[in-house]
Amino acid sequence: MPSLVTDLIPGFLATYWPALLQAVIVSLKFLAWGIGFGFAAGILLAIAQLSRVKLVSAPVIALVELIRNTPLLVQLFWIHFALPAPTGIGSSPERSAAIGIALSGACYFSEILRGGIEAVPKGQRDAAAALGLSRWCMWTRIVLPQAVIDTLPMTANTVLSFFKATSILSVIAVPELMMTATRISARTGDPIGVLTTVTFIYIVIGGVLTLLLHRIEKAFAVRSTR
Amino acid sequence: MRIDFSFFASTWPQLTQGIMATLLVTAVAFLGALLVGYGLTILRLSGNGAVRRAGNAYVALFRVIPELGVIFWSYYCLPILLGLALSEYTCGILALTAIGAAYVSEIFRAGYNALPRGQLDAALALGLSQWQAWRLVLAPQIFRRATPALINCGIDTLKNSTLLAAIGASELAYQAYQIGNATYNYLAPFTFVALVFFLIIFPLSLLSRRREALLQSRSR
Repeated sequence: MPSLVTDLIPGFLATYWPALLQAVIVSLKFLAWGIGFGFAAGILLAIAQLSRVKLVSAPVIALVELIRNTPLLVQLFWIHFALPAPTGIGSSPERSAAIGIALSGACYFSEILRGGIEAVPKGQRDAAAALGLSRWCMWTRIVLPQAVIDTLPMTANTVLSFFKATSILSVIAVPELMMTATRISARTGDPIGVLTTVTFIYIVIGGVLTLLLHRIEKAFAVRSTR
Repeated sequence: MRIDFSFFASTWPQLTQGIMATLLVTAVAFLGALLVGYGLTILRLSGNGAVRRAGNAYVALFRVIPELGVIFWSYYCLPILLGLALSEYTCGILALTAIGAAYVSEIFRAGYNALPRGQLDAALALGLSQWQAWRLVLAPQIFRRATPALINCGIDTLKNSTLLAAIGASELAYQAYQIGNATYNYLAPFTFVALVFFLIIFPLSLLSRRREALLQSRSR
């Protein structure tokens, strides 16, 4: 029974919604991995960037600049197609994508957190040392919480830009949402319907993500020290 | 691992063509983004509520729609909707312009909002015309404040231009991929391409940071 509602829903969805759902899950998995690993590794890299030992800081700074100043697509191509030559290890699209997005995430978060750490007044670290706190305690209880909370707006922006960047994984044939969309569109011959629907899916997920990040920012804004 | 220079000698025409295409696409798209973004900012600052909301919605949408999605949509859907045969370059540049415009508009709006409210009134009170006040008082300040962010926006446009490889535009990343496919040597062309991008983007990034630091120190 045709009605206004069923007319508005594109026909391909009836057949392909499981594929699209699966693709959304793949996209979100890579997003979670890139952000999760990136954030954790970014903390370590940020501390390394600020190390007074040049042998530690210089290579990390070089890596962070290299990754931040080249396009993700080129990095993915390099990891997926070029890297197997010198290492002799073949790679699957998923593995290359996981390496690429994790590396990128780590470097972007490293730069953000480095700024956050530098913004915490130096005197606090001296005070922690004077109070006899251990270095571990100084980082995990005093410096990092402030650095992370103060940089939340930038972190939120980075999460959104990585959400968009997961679509780039399609160029090395990772079956995420964008890749799946072009495949369905090629099969059904309806690019307008499929690509518009997928854009809509991105808008909805991006909207939810934006609200979520906003919530987190607000929850922590109260505890901000400055 | 050895570096084979004859490899680059034989693929040089393709690589230089790629570099030129990448630079051209970026330049045209970024100029377009500046113009459209400027117009968009005027709409967003207008007194008309509906126009303002439409402008804001445009910017908000491009914050979450993937760049590649815009490029695919432009490439696969625009020619059908418009009934025109558009090249992958045209579609790609249109997409990059649309994406860049949203960011440029956000930058200009932030620059405008950072100006003290009294300046326009003061300029008008001094007998300057609307246009003079804009050209002599407001615009120079907005542009100076916006420079670091605009440089970053140009960098993003350059990075995004590589996504045109996905619709078969023969820019630099695409050429490297083609060379790799033809010679089974992916390492040399992709390392070269990564290096080219780094050598263009890194100095721009340093320039942006210097301008930013300069602005910070001046505003104190």
